[in-house]
Amino acid sequence: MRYDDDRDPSLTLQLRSHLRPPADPAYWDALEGRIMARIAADGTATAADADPGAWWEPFVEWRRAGIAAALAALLFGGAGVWYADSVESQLAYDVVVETPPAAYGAPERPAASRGDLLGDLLGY
Amino acid sequence: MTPASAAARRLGLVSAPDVRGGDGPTRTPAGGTPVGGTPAILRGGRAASTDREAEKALVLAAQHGDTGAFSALVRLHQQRAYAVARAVLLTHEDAEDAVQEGFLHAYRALDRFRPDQPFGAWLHRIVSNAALDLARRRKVRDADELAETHASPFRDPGESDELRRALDAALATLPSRQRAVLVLHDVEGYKHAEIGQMLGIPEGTARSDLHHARAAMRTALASLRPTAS
Repeated sequence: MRYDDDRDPSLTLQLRSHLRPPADPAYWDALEGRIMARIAADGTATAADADPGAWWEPFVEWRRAGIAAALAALLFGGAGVWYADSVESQLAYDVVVETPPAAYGAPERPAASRGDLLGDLLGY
Repeated sequence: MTPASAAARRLGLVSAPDVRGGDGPTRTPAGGTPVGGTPAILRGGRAASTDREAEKALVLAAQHGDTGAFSALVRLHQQRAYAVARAVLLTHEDAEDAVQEGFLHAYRALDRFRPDQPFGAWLHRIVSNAALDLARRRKVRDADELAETHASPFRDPGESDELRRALDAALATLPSRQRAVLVLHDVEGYKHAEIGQMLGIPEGTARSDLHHARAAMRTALASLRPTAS
């Protein structure tokens, strides 16, 4: 607030007179024309600056579709590998479970009597 | 009908012709003569609101590539944009360059502007940035040379050459930001908060800049002041 008490009406009037904007409407019409001409030139320059001959440009629009297709392929591929792996495991498991022990070459012993077995355990 | 409404109507963007009020988009400088018409803020809520709606319609049309609508926005805002640029820059030509740069930047950035915001405040910030940028580039120029070649072709006949040169020289001694704050506040009637927003500085900085700028101007122009007898 201490800065607001140093107004100088005389200085303000002098500055206002000194910095008065052009009053002629023709000036403002001309300025508007120049501004719009610059904007038009800028638009033309921007369009000309663009590289129309880049070979990849026709494919730019397909970028999203390409990324989506790659993701889908990755998903399907991953799922396929996982499925094949699980089928293989299942088959191996089935083989182990269903195959009788004889198939693995387990030695066949004659059925021992109860007395023989007890003698083996006691060491005589 | 306000210029914004008239322009929007002419372009077929709005159809309400029942607006009565001022004749321009700009507001009155504090204690000064209105530049470009009666301020919307003084024209009553309805007219000001319709003005904003019409301006919004112009902005939306311009965002959709209607250069006629943008041209109407230029017509509505160029005088205030010039005043903002002139506050920062020492010469009429530089101010005009900054206005053109500002509108060009605004056109390029138009798709990022939200139409529910006041277009003028957004534009003035862009123009003040363009002006400050130009001022930085012009810093190498000699202030004496500027005083000699100051090129405002719109001189007040009552303003003596001596006073004009003294004002130019005094303004040239101020840093760009202080000069901008002084002119925007004392000549254009902006509030400290608006100036702070426009120049990207805190409100308190705008206040102290104004104080220092006034003091520097008083000192610089002391020799021209009539001494109290």
